[in-house]
Amino acid sequence: MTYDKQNLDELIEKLLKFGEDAEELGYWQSIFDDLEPGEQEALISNLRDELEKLEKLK
Amino acid sequence: MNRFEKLQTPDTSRERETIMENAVEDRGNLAARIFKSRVADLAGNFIPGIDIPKMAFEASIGKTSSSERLSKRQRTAYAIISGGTALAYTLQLLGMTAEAVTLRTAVAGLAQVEFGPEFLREAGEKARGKFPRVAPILEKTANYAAEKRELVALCIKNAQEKLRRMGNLEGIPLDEKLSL
Repeated sequence: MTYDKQNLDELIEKLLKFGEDAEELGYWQSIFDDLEPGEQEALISNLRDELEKLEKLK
Repeated sequence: MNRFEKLQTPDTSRERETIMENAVEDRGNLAARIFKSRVADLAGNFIPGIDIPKMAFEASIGKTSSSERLSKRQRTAYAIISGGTALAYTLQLLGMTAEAVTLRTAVAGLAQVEFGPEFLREAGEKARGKFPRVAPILEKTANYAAEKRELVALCIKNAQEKLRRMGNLEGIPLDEKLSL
C-alpha cells in the first residue's frame, strides 16, 4: 500500500504552524515518493502522533 | 489577552518543545534505517568476503565523538547527511574490481574522497538508471546537505577518523578481507 502524499502534505502544513522545522520536513516531503510503503507508514505515523500530541496541548 | 488571563493560561512551550524533540529524534532513527536498508541493497553488487557496505555505513553513520554535543534536531540532520554519505561511499566503491578491493584499498579509497554535497549529488547522478532505488534519495539528500555545511564537515571528520582506525591504527591486518 502506498501512502497518500496529500495526507503527508496536510500533516506537515499543520506541524509547521506549530513551529516545526520547515527544512527538515521539506526533506521528508521530497523523498516521500522514494520510500518503501513501510517507511512511508512509519513517517506518517510519526508525524500524525506528533501533531496529535501538539493539538492536545492547545 | 489581559494580564489575569495570561496568568491563567498554562505555559506549554516546554512541553511543545519536548514533543517536537522526541518526534524529530524518532525521524532520525527512521532516516538511519532507511539509509541502512539502501546500503544493504547494494551489498549484492560486491565481491563475497568483503563487507564494504557495512564498513561504509559504520564509518559514516552513528555516534559523533563525545566532544561534539548535538541537539536532537542536529542529530537527525546528521543522521540524514551521514546516511547519504554511506550510500555515496558505497556507490564509489562499486567501481572497484574484485582484485583491487581489500580492506586497505577500500579504506584508502574512501579516505581520499572529496566528500560534500557535490559528491553526494554526483554519486546520485551516476546511480541514476542503474540503481533507481537509491539515486533519487541521494540527490535530494545532497540538496538538504548543501544548507548544512557545518554538519557535513563534522560528518566528514568523523568518517575519516573512523576509516583511519578501521584501516590502520587499531591493528587490523590491512590485507585481511572483512567477512560478511
